[in-house]
Amino acid sequence: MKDNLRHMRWFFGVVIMISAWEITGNYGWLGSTWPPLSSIFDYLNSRPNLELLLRNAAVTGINATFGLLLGTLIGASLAILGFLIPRLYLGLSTFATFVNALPLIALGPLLIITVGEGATPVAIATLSVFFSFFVAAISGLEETTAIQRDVTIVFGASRWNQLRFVQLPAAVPRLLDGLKLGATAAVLGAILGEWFGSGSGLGVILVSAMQNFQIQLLWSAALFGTLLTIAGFLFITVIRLLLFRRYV
Amino acid sequence: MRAWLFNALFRYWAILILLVSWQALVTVNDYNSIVAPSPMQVGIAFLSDPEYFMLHAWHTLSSAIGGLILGIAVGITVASLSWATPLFNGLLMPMSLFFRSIPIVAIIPIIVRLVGYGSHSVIMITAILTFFPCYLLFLSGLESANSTRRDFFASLNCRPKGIKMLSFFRYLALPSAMPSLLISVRLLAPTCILVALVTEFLMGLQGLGYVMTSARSTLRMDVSWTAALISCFLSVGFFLLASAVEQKYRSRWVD
Amino acid sequence: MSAAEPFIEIDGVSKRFQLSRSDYVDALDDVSFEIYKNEFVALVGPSGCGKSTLLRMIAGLDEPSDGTIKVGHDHPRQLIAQQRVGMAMQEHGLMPWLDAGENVSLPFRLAGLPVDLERVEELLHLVKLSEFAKARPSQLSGGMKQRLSIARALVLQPDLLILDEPFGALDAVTRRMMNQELQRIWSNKPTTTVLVTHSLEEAVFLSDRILMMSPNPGTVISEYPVPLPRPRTLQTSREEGFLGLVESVTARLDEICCTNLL
Repeated sequence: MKDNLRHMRWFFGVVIMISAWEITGNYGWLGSTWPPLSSIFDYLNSRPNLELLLRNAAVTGINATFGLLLGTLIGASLAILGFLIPRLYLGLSTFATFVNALPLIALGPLLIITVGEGATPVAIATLSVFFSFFVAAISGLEETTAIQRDVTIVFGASRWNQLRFVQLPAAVPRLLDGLKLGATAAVLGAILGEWFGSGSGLGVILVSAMQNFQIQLLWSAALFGTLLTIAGFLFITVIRLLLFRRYV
Repeated sequence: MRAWLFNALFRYWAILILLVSWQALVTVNDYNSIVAPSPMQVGIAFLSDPEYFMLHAWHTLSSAIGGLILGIAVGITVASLSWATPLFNGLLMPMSLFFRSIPIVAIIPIIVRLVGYGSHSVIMITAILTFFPCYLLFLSGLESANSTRRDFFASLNCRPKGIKMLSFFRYLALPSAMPSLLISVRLLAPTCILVALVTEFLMGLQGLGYVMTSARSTLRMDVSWTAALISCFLSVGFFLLASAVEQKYRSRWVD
Repeated sequence: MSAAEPFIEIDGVSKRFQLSRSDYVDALDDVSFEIYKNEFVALVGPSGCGKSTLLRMIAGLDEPSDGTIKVGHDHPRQLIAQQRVGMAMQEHGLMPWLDAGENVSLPFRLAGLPVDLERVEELLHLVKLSEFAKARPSQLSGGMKQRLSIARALVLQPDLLILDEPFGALDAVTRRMMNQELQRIWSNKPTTTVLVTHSLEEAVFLSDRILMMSPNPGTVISEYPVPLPRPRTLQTSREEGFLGLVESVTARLDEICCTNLL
């Protein structure tokens, strides 16, 4: 009964939001920048528009994916390193906190020189993903209780074996959560990186649409950015479903 | 003295390696300053015209913090209203999910267009983007009181719904939400600076974000890098400050 | 010591918890007994016998599925509405953001009454925490926090005192001390009290009457009057009369528990 009530509230909330959007758009209450939802769909209806967006979304998507993979790899490696060699842990986690506090956009000027304009989106996406995944990995590894660890030590397991047989399987849920955060971070990083002159991608479209008052294009690009993020979530949910059959 | 140095090294070695490799990279590749300045050149660029950077840095920092304060103020107010009337929450939840799915970098151009170019825009946009996370955290904080305390309040006829709602809010819900408030500030510290920078970057009027983009077009990479580095300092510094505040005051509100 | 007319009347009380559409648990079934004014009654029994559930209903925090509960001819909710109930639980439930004095004053504020500082001081003195009035709960030990919790429960001079395993989280030594303290405080001004506890020694030491409950479903199966004279001291807890009582109650408990296991 309580659940039903909640679902109903949600449903009404969504309905109200969509209708409010349509109405404000149609009456122009928020100015021309807030078009009715329908006009965005109209815009997307035309072939060339759709193609433009899909092409650029693909570019951003590829950048984001590379960023996600690299960031996850680096994050995981450093987390495992920190676990295997406890002395390094403090330095690594301070480093990660430091990286997280850095404004990603400030890395733009720094990266276009060192890795080139083309690779900047991937680089920023990587750094963006690195932190959230590193934190998730570390907290996942720490989650197994001290008792479980003590038991494996008494049985003579090396730190590496502890990792393999106790910590890693237990850390899987946290790691998946970290991947989810990573998906958002990757898309964000990729788009940000594209602002530094990479030539194509949703980031480029967003900026030029903003500067040239192309409102529907602007909203459509934002929509595609959202879809990319959601696609990332879905992909990770699929992985989660596949894995959990084994680990739960 | 020696112990302090050793401790610092132990904690910050990774960051130091970063700095050293930066210098090494530039020296080894023999980049000239148009392409990639070394830490020293950056220092020189800053010192040659500190007022320029300080002015823009001040703009960024004040807009960011102003926006953060506004966003938090609205966030906790709306969260409190939401707590009192679940209807409100039901309406806001889909919206918050919506906002959370759109990447910040996609929302900001839209809001910039919406709000118009101007120095007030940076504060407003920062406020808008810090509002939702704060709202969600504070709302969950308001409901976080443990069952023992709720029972105690119930035994004195003080419940979240009913005539004594205000007392419940004032003496239990609100204090229970304070840790969430402190956490929000810490989490949103780097965010608010990032948002301010991104907005300035897109609008190109004032602030360190503007400096980064304008310096690129005049090929003054050392200026661009300097602005970038100052932003990094501001962001990390503000984050550390927020963390310290959270650490200090957290124990007051938590068991 | 006890008036002729019962203060708390529990009549045919049952409590059913609906877990899902078809699944339910009968926590209590047809419980009936009476408690007299200013009587100290302990509810004991193995885990799952429903004593805490029953206590909550007497306190007015829950409703029975069947049967009635009356406290002083009123519905327990009435007492809550008039702030006539004091409660201390296993988790101290103190507010970490208030100091000791403010914690004890809290009931005044919640009742919408002006804070009677003298009364607060009186209670802090009673539980021997006067010097700690400005200390925060996090600075106090477990035993001190429970003393504070009891002071808070008594500050409005309640007609009914509800104690739900208040000393359950303390170590055995502190527990014995706390029992003596509570006995002393209670004797100072006897209030109708219902105590739920797992410790039979504690029950015998503190109460006038012990009601033993058995689980599945919860019912009262035995009653033990505790005629030991007050004031009781730790000395009393080492005497024959006391130990004999503990023994018979324990024997009965063993019967219930072990029979159930078999």
